[in-house]
Amino acid sequence: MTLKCFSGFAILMVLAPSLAFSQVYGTAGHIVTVKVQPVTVLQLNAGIVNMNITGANAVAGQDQMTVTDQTTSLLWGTNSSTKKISVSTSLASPLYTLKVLAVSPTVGTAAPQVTLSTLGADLLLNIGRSSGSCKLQYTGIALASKGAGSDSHTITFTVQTQ
Amino acid sequence: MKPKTQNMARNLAGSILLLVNLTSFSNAQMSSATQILTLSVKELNAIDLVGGEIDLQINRVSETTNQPLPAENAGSRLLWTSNGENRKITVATNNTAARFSLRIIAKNVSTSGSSATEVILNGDAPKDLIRSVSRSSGSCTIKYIAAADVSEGTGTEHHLVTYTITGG
Repeated sequence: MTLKCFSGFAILMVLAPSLAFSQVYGTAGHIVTVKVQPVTVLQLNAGIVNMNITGANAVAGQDQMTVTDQTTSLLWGTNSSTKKISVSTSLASPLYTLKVLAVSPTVGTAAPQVTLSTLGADLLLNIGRSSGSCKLQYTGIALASKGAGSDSHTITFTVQTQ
Repeated sequence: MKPKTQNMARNLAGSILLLVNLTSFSNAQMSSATQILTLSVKELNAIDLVGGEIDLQINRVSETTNQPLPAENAGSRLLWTSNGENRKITVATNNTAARFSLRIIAKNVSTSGSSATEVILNGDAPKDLIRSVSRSSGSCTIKYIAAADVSEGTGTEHHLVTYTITGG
């Protein structure tokens, strides 16, 4: 009796591994590499802005006339740290002064009001690894001595390393 | 090719495609945005008068001429701004039948513009007070001088004096 039991146990032990291995018919593996590149998105909600200085903007006795516009929103997203947004204009010799200020940024720090020139100037600082938005406040300044006319700017906003 | 090798090859191709797609996606992202802004300045002219109503009273007589002495007031200030070329400022009254004389002198004209020496308001067409205003802002003091002869008696006259910036 004891010998029979031992023999049966021995057979089971021999067969068990082969039964287990018999359920695996093959394996396959591969390496999945996920690379996240620096991604930066910058968008304006309006492509064209028109500003007009008319008689309503003039005060008798004052040489300077101003007009403001705050209809544009700037939106961004970047997954890189230490980034800033700079702004520049294509117009090298404007007749009138044009300034821009980032108002109420959801992320980052607004730089002081910028007088637009062909040289880039900081608009927003410290926007690294974030998405956010702000309003753009444009201020047009005309002096009576400059007469009537118009300036056409192509304004470029760029995300740069801070 | 064995099935296992085929699977590996297929998976490797998939991985390469994924990497290629990720790279092209990141390259397509924009890191700048542009906007066209036009700032237009129309031709504009603004003129304003500081100082309330003027009350000129002729109530003294010269001991040498026995004529009433003129009454003067220099408490008004005229301000203007124009980005136009060759403008002038004229003055006119609505009183077309004034008996007493009312004269105006623009004093201390700042910056641009040249003052006429003196303007007598007599109900005719507007008269030039300041000329050669071009692309500038400025101001001056307005001095009113009212005079009357003894022969003109007494009375009260009202003037609505209007200053206009116009083409030169």
